[in-house]
Amino acid sequence: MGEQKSLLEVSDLRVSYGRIEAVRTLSLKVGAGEFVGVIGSNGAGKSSTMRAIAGSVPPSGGRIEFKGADVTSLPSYEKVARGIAMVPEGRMIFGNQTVRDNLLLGAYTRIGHDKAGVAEDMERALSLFPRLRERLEQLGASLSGGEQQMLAIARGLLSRPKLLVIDELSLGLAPKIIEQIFPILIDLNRQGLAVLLVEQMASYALAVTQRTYVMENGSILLEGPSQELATDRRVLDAYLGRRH
Amino acid sequence: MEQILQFVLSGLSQGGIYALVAIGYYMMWAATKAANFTHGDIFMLGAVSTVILAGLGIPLPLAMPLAILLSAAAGALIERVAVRPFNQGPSSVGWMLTTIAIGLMMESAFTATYGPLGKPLYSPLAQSPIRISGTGIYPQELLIPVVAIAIMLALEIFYQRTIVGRAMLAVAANRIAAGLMGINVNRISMIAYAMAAGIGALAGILLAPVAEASPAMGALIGLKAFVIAIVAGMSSARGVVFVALAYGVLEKMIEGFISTGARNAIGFGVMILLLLIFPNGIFGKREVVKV
Amino acid sequence: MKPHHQFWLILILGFAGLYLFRELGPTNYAIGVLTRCMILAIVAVGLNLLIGQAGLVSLGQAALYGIGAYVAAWLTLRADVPFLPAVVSGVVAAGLMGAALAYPSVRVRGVYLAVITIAFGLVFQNVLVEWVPVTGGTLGLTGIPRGEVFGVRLTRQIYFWVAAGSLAASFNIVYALTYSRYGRAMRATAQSENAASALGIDVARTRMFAFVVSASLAGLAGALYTFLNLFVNYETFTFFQSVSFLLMVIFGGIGTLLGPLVGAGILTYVPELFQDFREWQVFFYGAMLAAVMFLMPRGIVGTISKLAVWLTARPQTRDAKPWPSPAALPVTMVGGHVEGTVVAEIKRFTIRFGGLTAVNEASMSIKAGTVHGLIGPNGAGKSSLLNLMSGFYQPTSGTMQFLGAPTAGIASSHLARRGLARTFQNTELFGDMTVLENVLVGLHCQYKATLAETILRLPRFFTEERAMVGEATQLLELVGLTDYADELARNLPFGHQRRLEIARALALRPKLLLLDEPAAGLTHGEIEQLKELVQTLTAQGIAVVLVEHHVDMVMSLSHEVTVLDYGQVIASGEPAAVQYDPKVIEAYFGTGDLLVPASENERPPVVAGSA
Repeated sequence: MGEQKSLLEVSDLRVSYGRIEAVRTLSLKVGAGEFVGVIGSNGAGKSSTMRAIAGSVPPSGGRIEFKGADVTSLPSYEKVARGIAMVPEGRMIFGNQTVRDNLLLGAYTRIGHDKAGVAEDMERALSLFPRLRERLEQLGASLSGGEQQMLAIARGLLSRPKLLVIDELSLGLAPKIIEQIFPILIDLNRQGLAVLLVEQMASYALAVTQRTYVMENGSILLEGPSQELATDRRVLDAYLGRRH
Repeated sequence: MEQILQFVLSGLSQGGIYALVAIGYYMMWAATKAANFTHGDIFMLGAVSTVILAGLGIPLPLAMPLAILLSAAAGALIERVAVRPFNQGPSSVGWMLTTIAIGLMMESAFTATYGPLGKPLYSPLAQSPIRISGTGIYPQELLIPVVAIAIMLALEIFYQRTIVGRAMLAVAANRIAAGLMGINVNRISMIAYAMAAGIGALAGILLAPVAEASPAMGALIGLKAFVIAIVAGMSSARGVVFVALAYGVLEKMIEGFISTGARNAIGFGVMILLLLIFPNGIFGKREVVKV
Repeated sequence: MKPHHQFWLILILGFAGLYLFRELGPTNYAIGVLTRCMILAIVAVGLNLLIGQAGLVSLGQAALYGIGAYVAAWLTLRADVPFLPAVVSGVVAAGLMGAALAYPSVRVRGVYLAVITIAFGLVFQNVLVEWVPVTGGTLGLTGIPRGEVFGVRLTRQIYFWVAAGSLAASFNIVYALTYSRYGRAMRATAQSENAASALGIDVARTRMFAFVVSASLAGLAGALYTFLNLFVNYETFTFFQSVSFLLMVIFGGIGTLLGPLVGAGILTYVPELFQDFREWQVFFYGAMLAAVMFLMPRGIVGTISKLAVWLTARPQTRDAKPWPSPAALPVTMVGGHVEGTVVAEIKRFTIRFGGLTAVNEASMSIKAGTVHGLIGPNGAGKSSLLNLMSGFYQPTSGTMQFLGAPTAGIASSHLARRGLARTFQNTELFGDMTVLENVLVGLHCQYKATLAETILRLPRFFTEERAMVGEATQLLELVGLTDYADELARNLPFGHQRRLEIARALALRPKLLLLDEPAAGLTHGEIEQLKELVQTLTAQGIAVVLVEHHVDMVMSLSHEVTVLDYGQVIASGEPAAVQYDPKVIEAYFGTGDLLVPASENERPPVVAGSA
């Protein structure tokens, strides 16, 4: 990144629910086209951080800048329009609507003025995830967990984001499925999409991302290139509580 | 046999009115998990304002859409002022009280200015009844359930084929996820209230030629429609319309075979019983308790 | 001001005011209006219990009021029943009706209950008009004689004091219930159904009780109204009247002692002023309701008292004491150390939600005086298993024995009473109750004093309440929170909330304690203290099941660890063995080999491995 301004810059972020502070003074950056991971144990505040970035919970302090503009307290629908898409924890597929309708909802912000572009992106998303093409007219609820995750990612792509935030990609998925999805994310990233990935399965996150943040107790514990962190004993200790 | 046909037809007519009002409750509930409690007064507003506008010399084909637009605006306003600020959290009931307050004010303001008595609205379909074995029924009355079903089908197309309709379903299913799609959840809620109000007003306009438009006409119908929507389970327009039509027929049967006086007592009794058997409504889905 | 000071002050000032009013030589009309006001206040006081304590809204209170009125009127007119039995019958009839109405509705909350009560109100009015032989139809029942008690004829002058006495009695009942375990249970169910039932409170019964009390008081008021008005007719018991009862409570201030009295006063006298507005009267009623909702959602008394608190509050510094302090362990929990006996035995527990199998054939054996760790990655089914054990979910298949008895089909509240306590992942405290009250709710099932003893506040009520407060205070001392006893639970810092939840669970005097991520959000220091507390508890023979993401905590505390993945037990045994089990490492980290540096190859190892 160097002198270049980051795509996303979060500084001193705080998120609280009532008097409970889930995130305390957290700072992180994502450069344009970068693939960044956030790992850490459950309850470390990862999801709260992502929700604040995507605008589904208001931060109680700090600042979020996107493409150089202050977007700290914007509601989620405005952030989508500016280029932040989120694949939420638990996927949140609209189960009573078809796969096609789910995808069209992903394009909600542009469908009014860019029908051709949406059709084109739809085609691209379906060729990334051929399984979805087979199930285009099925209800979202009838998909398997892996297919739902694919749909959630495809749906996120349809807003043509600059930054894709993915919260807990592997949650409840079998390793085989996870290993099908990751290469697609890597491809998307190579095509210029910045990805911020929250992942509990540290090995996956460390393997696919360029840079990783390790969170604990609502703030950043460690930060560095993923390859280096992968050999850092502190990461493993944070997980399994091994003593040196 | 013909007597039963008569009950069924007039029951469907009555049920069509319930259906149109209950659809509104369903739409509002789906979007916000709240509703304009006195939606029946919007139904009244549609009928009464059409009569008033017609009285001002505005031709009916213009007065009716104007009244519907006016009611839709009132619905949107109620969402913004009386529901949204009082619907924070799943167990809040503030919206119930604020909308009851507004309903009381509307009803009494019209009683004071328009007068408590009903006034008829002209309709070419309410001039000469069709004879069915001794008793008659106006074509207007037969029109009502047809409109109700047509509106239901139109709504289904709206939900499945338009982006605003899809967004409304998305908001109903998960407000947070809808926001993440770029949907302005509050605006969609407001549109849902406006549409509900427009449909409710239409019901009032349809009923006015056969039952007169009065300020008190909406209160009981509104409550019945709410009960109907709840018994149906607030889960789909189709379910709501089905229960509403059935309830209308049930009422006419009670009137015909027992007595007019027993109508509400037995009708509501049946509804309370149904809710006892189906605590989540007949077509409702059981919500999994999250611990 | 303490509640019991408020209570006596209101009672004394109230009667002094009434006495003064009579000394001023008011007209018969004025006496009548005030009597009616006091009768309406009885309904409001009862409704305040329902809304303010149990969190349930009724819009059919006028019908219950009407049942009391019509039953008393009919008995007097048609069966020559004297005043007292007629009034009592009115109360009982309304109470029974309330029970019948509450039974289907307590399971549904909020708007459903409101709609059912409205429907009931409309049915009632319909019956009044149509059932002419009994109710007199639209004319109603007329010619009711004035009541007579022990040979004294209840003239308007005397009846004034009858109404005042009845209001005072009702006020006392509601006050006594509010500040006893009954009121606490109601508030608890209103604030968190889950936590309430985890503490042994039968939520449906508690709600039904609140409904019956408020219905009975409405019936009392109705019966009294009959002997004031001397005729009854359907026009008095409308939906509009139900709204005004609700308005009285909201106007005065939901949940306050004085509120419903103030509300009833205002809403009796203000319409008298509004009479000049004639047809606009209802309009102003609506406007008033709207104005209150917008400007003073807490009502008059609620807003003023909040202001007073705000003005007089001095910044207080409170300190959490070091914890745990094992010396403070209540005697009720000391001993019973029988380490090793099996407390709970789970066999092949399975639960499916739709197509998803959240827990799949999981078996565990939990022994007294030990910590049983339960770990696994996010979504592995740990919380579902905990919910199965505590009776919040019923298993699709599989069984559990708790203290030697099967738990199939037994509600969570009953398991709690048998000694199964739990905490919640997202602390479920009763936020609007004080810290001490939270623990007292936990002691709910230990109370022995009867309802009558509570309402009459007989000696046993007081001694028992004192003993319970003592035990609760000890539990607070155990977790170092005595300083915060009178603070609202939601104002506690997060770490203290976790501690309070544990103290509250301990109030059940449990044999088995399920802790659902108790360390989440705690600092390292707090985690060490938590570990010490858990050890203190197991030393007394309590079995602890610990679900936790802080694996080091689980490993250092547990005697045995069970690891879940995709709902299945993938490893079980001593911590040291489980920790290095390759299956466990894989479950947590995935299949990618973490310790091997990512290769220079562009494809990361995890992907390469699958190709």
